[in-house]
Amino acid sequence: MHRFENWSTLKDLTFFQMKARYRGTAAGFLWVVLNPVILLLVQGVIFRHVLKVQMANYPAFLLGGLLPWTFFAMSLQMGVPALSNARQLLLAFRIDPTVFVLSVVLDNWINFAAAFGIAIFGITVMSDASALGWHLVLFPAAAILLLAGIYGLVMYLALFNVFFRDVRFICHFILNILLFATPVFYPVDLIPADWRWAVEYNPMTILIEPVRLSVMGFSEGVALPAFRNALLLSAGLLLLSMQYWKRRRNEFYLYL
Amino acid sequence: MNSTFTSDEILRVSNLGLAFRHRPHRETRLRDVFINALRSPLDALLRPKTSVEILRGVTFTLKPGDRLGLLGINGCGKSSLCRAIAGMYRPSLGSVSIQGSCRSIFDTQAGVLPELTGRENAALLARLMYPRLKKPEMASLIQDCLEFSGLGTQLDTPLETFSQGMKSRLFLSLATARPAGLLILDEVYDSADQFFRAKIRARLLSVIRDSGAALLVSHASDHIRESCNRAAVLHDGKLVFDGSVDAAYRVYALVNGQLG
Repeated sequence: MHRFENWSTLKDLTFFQMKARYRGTAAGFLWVVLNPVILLLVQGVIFRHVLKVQMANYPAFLLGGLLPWTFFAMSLQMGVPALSNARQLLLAFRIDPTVFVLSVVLDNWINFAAAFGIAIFGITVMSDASALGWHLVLFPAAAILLLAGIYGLVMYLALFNVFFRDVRFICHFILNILLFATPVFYPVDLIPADWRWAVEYNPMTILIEPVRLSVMGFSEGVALPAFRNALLLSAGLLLLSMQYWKRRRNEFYLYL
Repeated sequence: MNSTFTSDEILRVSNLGLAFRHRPHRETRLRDVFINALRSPLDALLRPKTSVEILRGVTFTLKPGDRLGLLGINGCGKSSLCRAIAGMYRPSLGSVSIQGSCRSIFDTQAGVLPELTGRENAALLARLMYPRLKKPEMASLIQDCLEFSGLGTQLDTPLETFSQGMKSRLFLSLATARPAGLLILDEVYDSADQFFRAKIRARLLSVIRDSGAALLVSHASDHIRESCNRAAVLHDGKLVFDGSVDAAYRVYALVNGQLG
């Protein structure tokens, strides 16, 4: 399932997916970057100036957490029902179901990368630009690990959703809980030591951490374990989804 | 895949068995699973999965020029057999070997993205159906299909506004644009409107004849008689006859008579 006869099929599906998403809107692709950038500005003002979070270069910290989180949340919301929504087409002729989930995740990943580029530019102009440095070269690797991990998770849940249609609704409220259990707005140090494990073992913390390190920089010995953990988790999630597909393939078409 | 596969065969189905394992009265909502697990935890844990056999020991081959009509009553396993050959189902037993390309059509009203226009959906469907086609060839195929569909300016309206018949016109125009090494058509004849039906029937016949081999499922005997030079009868998951079209219809009637 995870091989493609033609990558251009995936490319076209992703392109048309993006086109369909903003069809009928006046601002079109502008929403792709406007949404997260506005969210970033609002959260930045609230946490910095209203809640008085004392932290050096807080906009960069927020950028490294909020944009990957938005990518994850959007991929989950759009990707989990992707297979059951494509039911008629998947039963009409033989198509690799992977492309439907991967195109949704890729669509959101491209939006994430575009919004990230614009936000980085904005932060460089408006805030403490000295905090952004050479460590940004690690961003592509961090973004690819994030893409792989989120694709593995969404693919697994999209398959699971074919057998239990509640999954998409459960994901919705788990997202709300997970948002507070992931250090998107606050640093891990703010969590009491007794509860820190709940945040540190949270898969989203593990996947977001390399992105944040590539934005914020890091001290010696921090980056390697973070990237290693994200790599292991992404590989694990990809394997899990592949195994699940292999095991339930016949039933998948039966229950679709 | 199969040591007995010979070079002049396009398809070899050997002792094919297909079974689905599922729990009887299976819940499709987590809430029901949860409630039943609370009500009877042992039953939820120990209730065995039952195996439902759909196909049993199906064996046949298709050689170049073979156009096989598959006859059988509803639920006998025709579509499952076609899906197993197309590679959608993994056989529980036996094997399926195909030499060359295989294109299978099971539904004629599917679109990809309802928000996009018929034209855009056609481009995407063509990419999904013919992934190996080069760009210039793809462009001419899409143009030819759009003209053939006769949908005119309606092609530039969103697919979600199309009627079922319009979707059929678009889908069938694309699905019949090129022959295949092995073509599988599962009840594709009856979805278009009566005016388009005559036009698509000629195109279907042509693409069936130009394909290496074809496997057709239809409940309309005139379509089978017109398109096929061989027919097989599937009964209760087993292939009970494979031979001439006329003889197959006699066996089919006999099997139905016994059932009645």
